[in-house]
Amino acid sequence: MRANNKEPPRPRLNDESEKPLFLWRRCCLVVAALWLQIVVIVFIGIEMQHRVNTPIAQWWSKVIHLLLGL
Amino acid sequence: MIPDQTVQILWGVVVALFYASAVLAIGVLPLTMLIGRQASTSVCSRVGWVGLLWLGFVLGQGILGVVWLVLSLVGILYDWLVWLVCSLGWLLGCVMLYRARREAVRVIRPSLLSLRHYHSWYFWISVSMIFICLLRGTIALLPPGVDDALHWYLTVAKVTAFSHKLEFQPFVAPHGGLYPLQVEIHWAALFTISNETAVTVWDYICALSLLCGIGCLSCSLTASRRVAVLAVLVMLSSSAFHEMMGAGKTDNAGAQYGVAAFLWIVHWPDLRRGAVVLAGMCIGWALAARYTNFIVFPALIVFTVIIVRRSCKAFSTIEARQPKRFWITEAIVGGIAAVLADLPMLVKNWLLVGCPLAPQFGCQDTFWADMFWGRGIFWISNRQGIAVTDLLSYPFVLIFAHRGDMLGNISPLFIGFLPFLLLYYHSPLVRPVLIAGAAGLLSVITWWLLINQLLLFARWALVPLGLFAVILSAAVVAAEQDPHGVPRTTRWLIRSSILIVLFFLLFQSRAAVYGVRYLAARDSRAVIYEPMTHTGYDIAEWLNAHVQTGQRVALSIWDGYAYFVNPKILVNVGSTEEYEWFWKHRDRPLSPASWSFYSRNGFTYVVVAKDSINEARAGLPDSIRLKVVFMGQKDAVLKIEEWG
Repeated sequence: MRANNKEPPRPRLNDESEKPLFLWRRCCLVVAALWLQIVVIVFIGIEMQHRVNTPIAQWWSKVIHLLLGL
Repeated sequence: MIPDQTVQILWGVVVALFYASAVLAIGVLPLTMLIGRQASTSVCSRVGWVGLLWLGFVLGQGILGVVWLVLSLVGILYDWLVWLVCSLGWLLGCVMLYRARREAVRVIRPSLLSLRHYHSWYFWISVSMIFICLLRGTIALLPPGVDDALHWYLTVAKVTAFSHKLEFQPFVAPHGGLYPLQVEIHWAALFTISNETAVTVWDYICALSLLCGIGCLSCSLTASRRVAVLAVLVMLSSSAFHEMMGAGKTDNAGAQYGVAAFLWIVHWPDLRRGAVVLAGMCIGWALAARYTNFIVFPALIVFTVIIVRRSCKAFSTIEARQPKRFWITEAIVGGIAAVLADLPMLVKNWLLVGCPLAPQFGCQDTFWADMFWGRGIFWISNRQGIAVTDLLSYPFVLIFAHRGDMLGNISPLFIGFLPFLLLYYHSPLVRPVLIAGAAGLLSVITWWLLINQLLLFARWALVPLGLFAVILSAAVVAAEQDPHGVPRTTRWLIRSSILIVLFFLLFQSRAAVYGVRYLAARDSRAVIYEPMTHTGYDIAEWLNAHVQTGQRVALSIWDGYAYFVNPKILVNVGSTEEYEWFWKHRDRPLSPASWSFYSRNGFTYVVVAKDSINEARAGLPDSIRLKVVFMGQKDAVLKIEEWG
């Protein structure tokens, strides 16, 4: 993927920047992203359940209930 | 042959676009005059020409709002006057565009050409959002369906346009004329020269403008377009925002002024007095658009103090800094500008009822003050506390709860992005926008402290939500751009979440199909409104078709939407004194005394609930006879006939 040429270049701090993230920080980032994903999916499931009554919405709603049940 | 309905809708769209361009021109001219050419270039360098135009658009709305208010109070809001002002604005715009044509080409052409090189993830998010906004624009062509809009906001505007005069309008609420009307007065002007579609499309344009403002604020604070794109997405994915695009609610349009005030404050250290005057005017208009926008005041003050401190620190020597007295003087000037911008709305209330802050404060001995639903919601009235657990669960409730009067939730991205803020609050990208987050938090705290009863109205907090969107988006962009590298799982989870949200927005915009059907005259208004029995559409249609000039209709016990009733009938449904009588006799609206009152005051028709017809007949005096002339789905129209 090509970088957006209008954006300022990423800051190159010093040699420290070449070091990978600590393990705990990597874990935190993955957990944060998982949290984002869960919140979005649960939200859409609830919205579907409340607002529409199509077969897809019902199916989605069941999936959400299953996930929440687990 | 093009159907008449299609012609009317297209005419409304054209008028709304014409009106928007006139507002833009009317705003940009004083803007450049007030801050100067050099300062305009400075604004352009920080937020681009889009930012400058956006600020001009908001200023134009503020100025024209005051013009329409004055004209309507005088009673001369005539169509030819509105056309004249708009045409002058349009001509002005053409002249300005002609004079700046070379500069415009020089600025716009490279921007358009550079689009060929954009293949980033954020570019595709932008393209998706533009597509979703277009679908929302199609939905805005539909007749409004939000209860509040049909009950009050649109009715006030429609009746003002009909009578060319802004009055108390006892049949709306009954204090319609006392609302802060900075937004509705534009609708009244549009009703004067066009139709309902012009109003809904204009409301949609104002919602787009709010998105644009949030993008500009993000760019100003972070100098990153990626942050701007994500902030706009966070806002757009809030159903409290996107479902009100073109729905005839004042919240989206009113929030523009609040965001503009923050943007002007960001530029204050560079632009000096011009910026602070404009910030003051914008916050005054925000209040004149919605009194609940007062929650932004404390946040704006704190935001201003931090911006000034930051600006002072930027100078290495004390001599180079401006003295405290300078900043205080300028702040006072800004405060005066805010009061002056809000003043017309207070003067309007003073002229109508003698109490500038009615119905909340003053005139409390009147019958209509008792009818104001929001009277007891403020802490100042009820002194109720709020539990901490309720307070902490508020974000979750606003996202996941469902209640009819909420009129939409906030985006799940608000709490979804929150962990990234905790991890990246020290990042160089996030640090400059921490003040936006703090201002948003302070606004919400003010809301919690002063407005009790846990009102779940996210639409009241659009400005703080916009501020939160900026800081949360900056945190996510900082995570994606982490110089140490981000785990691939994290990157893909973030992107897939955003993709799901975009698909969801696409799904939520499926009503665009109905917009196209309505435009093509495949569906009529009746098809849309008749299934909604509580609206009283059938009754209103009958009245519009059968009530003759000079005949009066009593609507005081009808709970249908006055918006559907012809304004010609509405202006005769009752004076303030008559509504006071109705209010005092509200427990027995069908008693013999009521019928004598109707007969004595020349009412020809009375609208009652269908199941109350027998009660109405039982309470009838001997001198009056009732005839059922129309049976609707829920209500009936009774004709009063004198007997003997």
